[in-house]
Amino acid sequence: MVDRKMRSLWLRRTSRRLSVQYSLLYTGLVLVIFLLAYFVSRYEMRDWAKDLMRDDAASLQVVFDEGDLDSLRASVEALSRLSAARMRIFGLFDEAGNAISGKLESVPDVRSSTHVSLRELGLPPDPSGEVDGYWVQIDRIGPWTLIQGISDEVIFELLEALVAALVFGFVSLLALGLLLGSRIGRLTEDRVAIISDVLGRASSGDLSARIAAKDPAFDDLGQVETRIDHALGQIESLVTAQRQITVDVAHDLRSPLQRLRQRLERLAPTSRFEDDKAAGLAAIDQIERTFNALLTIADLEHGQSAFDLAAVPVGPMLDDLRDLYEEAAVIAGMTFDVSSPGPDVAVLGNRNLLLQMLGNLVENAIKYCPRGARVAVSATSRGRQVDFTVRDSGPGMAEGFLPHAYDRFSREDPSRHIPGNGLGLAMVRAIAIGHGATVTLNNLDPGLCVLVSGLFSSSVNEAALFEGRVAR
Amino acid sequence: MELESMNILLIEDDAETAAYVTSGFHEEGHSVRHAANGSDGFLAALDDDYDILIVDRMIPKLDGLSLVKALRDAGNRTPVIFLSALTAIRDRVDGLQGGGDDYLSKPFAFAELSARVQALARRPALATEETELRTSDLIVDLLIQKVTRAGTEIRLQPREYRLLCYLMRNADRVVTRTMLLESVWDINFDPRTNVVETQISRLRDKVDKPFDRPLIHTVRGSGYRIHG
Repeated sequence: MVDRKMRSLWLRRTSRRLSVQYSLLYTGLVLVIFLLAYFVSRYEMRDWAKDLMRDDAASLQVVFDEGDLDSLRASVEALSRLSAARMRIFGLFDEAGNAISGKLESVPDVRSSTHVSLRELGLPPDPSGEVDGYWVQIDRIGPWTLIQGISDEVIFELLEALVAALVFGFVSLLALGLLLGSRIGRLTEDRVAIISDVLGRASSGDLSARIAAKDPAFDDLGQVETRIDHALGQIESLVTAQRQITVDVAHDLRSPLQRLRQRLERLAPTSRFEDDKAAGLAAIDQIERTFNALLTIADLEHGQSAFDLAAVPVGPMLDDLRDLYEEAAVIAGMTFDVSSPGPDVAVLGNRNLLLQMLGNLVENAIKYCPRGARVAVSATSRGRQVDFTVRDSGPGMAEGFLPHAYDRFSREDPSRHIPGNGLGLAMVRAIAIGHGATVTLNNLDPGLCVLVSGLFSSSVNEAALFEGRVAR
Repeated sequence: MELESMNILLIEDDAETAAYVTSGFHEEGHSVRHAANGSDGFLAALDDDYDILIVDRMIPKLDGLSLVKALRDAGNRTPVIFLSALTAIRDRVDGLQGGGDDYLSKPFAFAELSARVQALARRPALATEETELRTSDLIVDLLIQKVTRAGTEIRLQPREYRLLCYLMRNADRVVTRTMLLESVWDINFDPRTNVVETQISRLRDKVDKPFDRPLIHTVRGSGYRIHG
């Protein structure tokens, strides 16, 4: 199991996987080529053997034509003696099949150009065991029959030499290929690692991160690097421009609001306009809250927000949540329950933002549930993660609205008779994203369950791991 | 009880806001010097001994953050409140890490600014370790966390105890609802519930109701004040 996992991890590197795939493909192709070479060579060897024996037969025919039967017998005898280590055999027979010359004692019952065993030729077994038989050639020279053969050992020796050369070449090429492939793979791997690191830093909010690609690009990966650098530059410019717009809007909107508030506050307290003044100040507060919420959501979603991270004990935080909202729930005629996990459970995050996130969910539940409803907040610890659940027994959410619930200013009730700015769930999701968590809405029929899952438990004190997932 | 007059330096480029703040503090009996840009503000801050500096973040010539950093580098430790239209978490963190002691977003109510200025300018010296808080006959023994009034022990819940301590540390000064949420509940968002009012009410039931004279007062439109 572990081996399989390790192998899977090892092969997860693209360059290694490609290297292995190319090596396997290369090995297969080379094997096919070698097999072809082997069989073609074997065929050619037999052809060569046949040609050799045909030439010898032709030479002996010339001897016979220019001389007589004795000359022919002497020549066959000489050839038979010259043939070293049983590599060649010769036999010359008269019309009656009697052996006249050579090593063969009788005419074997075989066809020409076939492989014949020692036994069929009437020869004793080879003491070295290297000769099994002969490729034979049968020719008529004058009235006599010439039978000659070339031992298969000769062909096998030549083929062995060929196979040895092929295997040596194959192994050398394979080793060289793997070595070069690995080296090239390592270089590619390093470049991919740099790309991955830069993209990781960029997604964590560091938009100044660059690969520093060579321009012009040397290869296709270089083109990707150049384009990533270019894209990051564009994104950084856009974010900077957006940030500047935000600053400008902030200044240009907040300053007039400040002046408006100042003028309202300066109004002399008279009973006639006191209500109008209070309503005006409340409206300014509402505009400011909406504006602040929009800015915070944008900052969190784009990873531009810098907030303190700490181990936040879940129990005390939920006690604070109860303290902040229990009275409001009771006034609304609801029961409010909070259940904490063990006293040792803590999450890595920002307590203020996490409280705001859970507070928004509780506030929504109180706002939309009827009297008599129950609102329950709980936290569960699973392994290295902590999940928060806010559950109510209210009317739930229309299924058609669920996909739009996180949109800014989205309201399930378009008449907007319930107070609010439609930014609560957008803020919840932004805070969850900022903590590397996800939010899921589920209708319970009746009721709604909001699950915020995947927050890091503080027991996972691995800053590097956390930095990779949380906007800093 | 009258508060002591403070010497305030306001560095703000918006003339109308500067006039509003200056006029408000004058009415409270404080003296205010106004600088309309960063470089004038920097020189003014080095020129006199102020109780507090109120600095806008976005001002011409030298921005507020750089100004405060330069002052801190020059050894100036006068408390600073930033006023700013920049309200993102990062901006607040930058402001506080850059040497600011408090951060107030625009638009702000003068009462909020005034309460924060008073709380900050008269912050007790850190070297002095408090062991007791006293307002009239109400005493909090910080070592054993015991509250008594006129010799009678008062039992408080933890949140009520923190609320009372904060009020007493700022005795005779107005503390706003936002300041209470930040200091007692340790949150910087508005939960939009009546949690502050409820806790103040519970505290009054224990601290004031059984006795002849109330100590916790509501300051209309501003907040609360404990006063002996």
